[in-house]
Amino acid sequence: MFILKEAFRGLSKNKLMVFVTFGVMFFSLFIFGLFLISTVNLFLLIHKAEEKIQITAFLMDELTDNEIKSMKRDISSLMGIKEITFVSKQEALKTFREELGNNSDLLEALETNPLPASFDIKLYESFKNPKDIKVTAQKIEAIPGIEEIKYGKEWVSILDKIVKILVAIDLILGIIISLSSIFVVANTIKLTVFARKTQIEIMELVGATHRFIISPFILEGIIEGIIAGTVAAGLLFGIYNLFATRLGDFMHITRELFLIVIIFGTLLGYIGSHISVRRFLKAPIGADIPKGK
Amino acid sequence: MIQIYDVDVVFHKEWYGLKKINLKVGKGEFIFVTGPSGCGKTTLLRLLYMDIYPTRGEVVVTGFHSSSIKTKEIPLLRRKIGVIFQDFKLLQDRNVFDNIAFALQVTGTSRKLIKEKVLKILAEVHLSHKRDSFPYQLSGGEQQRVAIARALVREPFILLADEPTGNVDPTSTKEIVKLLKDINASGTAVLMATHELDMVMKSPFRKIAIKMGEIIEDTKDNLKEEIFLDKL
Repeated sequence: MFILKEAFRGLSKNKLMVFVTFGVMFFSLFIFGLFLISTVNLFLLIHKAEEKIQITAFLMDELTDNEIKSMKRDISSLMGIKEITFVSKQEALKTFREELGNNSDLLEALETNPLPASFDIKLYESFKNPKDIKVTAQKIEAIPGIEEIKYGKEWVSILDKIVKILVAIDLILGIIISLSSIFVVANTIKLTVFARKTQIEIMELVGATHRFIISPFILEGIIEGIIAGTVAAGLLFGIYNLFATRLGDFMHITRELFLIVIIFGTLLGYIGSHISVRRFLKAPIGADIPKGK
Repeated sequence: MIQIYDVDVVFHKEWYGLKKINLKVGKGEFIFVTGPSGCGKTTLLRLLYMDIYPTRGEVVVTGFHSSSIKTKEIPLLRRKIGVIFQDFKLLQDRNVFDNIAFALQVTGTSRKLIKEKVLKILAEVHLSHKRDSFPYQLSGGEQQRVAIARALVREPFILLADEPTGNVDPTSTKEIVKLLKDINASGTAVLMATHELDMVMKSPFRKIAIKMGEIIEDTKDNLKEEIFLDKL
């Protein structure tokens, strides 16, 4: 109860510093939120690109239904296979005809269907890397009745490199943003705590435990963090709504994202105030002489 | 109650805060610690409330040993000691009552008991009529009495006073010293550090003179005016 009262007393008696801390927190959290939105969309983009990765296995002509069925069984028994779709010669021709559109008349000149039947094979996410795709493709190719395999070998390895670089940049950016937020917020809170140095000294002198001394400051930091997080999340949501229609499918934003901003705000308040008050607990009481030893 | 054995406090390489200190403080004693500014009076007091530890030697305060006390136990030790300073260290945003109550609130005392104790101690330091005043509305002497009340409200066995009269006028000085004597008469030991030799010289209480970190005199007799010059 005392801790709660002290926390609210701190918030109401030091309005200017509270406002400055709130501003710094809000700004850090807004940047953090923008970063989160970019990250989520980056991963969605990667996911979309990876979804297109599939192995197409073209079959030899004149295979019986039973042979095709047994081939399908053999392929699905391989590791990492998520889904197999059989595309018959007729279906392949139909799709091709649709793709040609107005020029489909050209196909009329053909007496027989030149397109082979095929399996469209989708892989699980964890297998969508150049090495696993290559191994799986080789295994499929070895199955009797398979004439040719296609999986955009070069494209897969380029995509893999791009994804790795993007994820690394994103991770580094994330660490930089998080650490600099903590650093800036901790230093701002330090000013608030400095204004109440005497209060900490007195608490130490009369035998308050460290936990008891720290608690009101931490509670203050958490309250500020929650409010700053909520405002930052609200603003991000507002801006997103404003541009959502123009951005169309490209931008995605979720409720969890806002929750993360608020949680990060809470953590920012907690860690920031913890670091600041701890520093003052190490200071000498009643004299500007070092602690010695 | 308090024992100090062969204590050295070294701040930086060769800078001695205190040197070869041996001291015993008995129950209910009144002791003046005197010496010029920077001689080590404050350092001696800080050793007792364990804000610093000796570089060599051992300090024992009500069973807590400086060599073995854990960080967690320091608050327990401090609850048994009252400390006041030259600059009062009052919270400017609270009135007299709340300043004194603060010492009890931070250790989780019940509201009813806090009120009872604070009102009683306010009467003892003759400040009942100022209970709603803020520190900036009080004279230096009154502020120091509030600080004394805050130190005493926890009923410590000893009151450590670091230059308590350094910031007040001569009349208030007399009042504060008298108050400290009254406190001592009721059983609380008092250890008062002061550089005002005149106040100490002819006092009937025990006097410890410190110079350059060393105790040069520990006596109940009158101190000579030239004491700090003699040992140059």
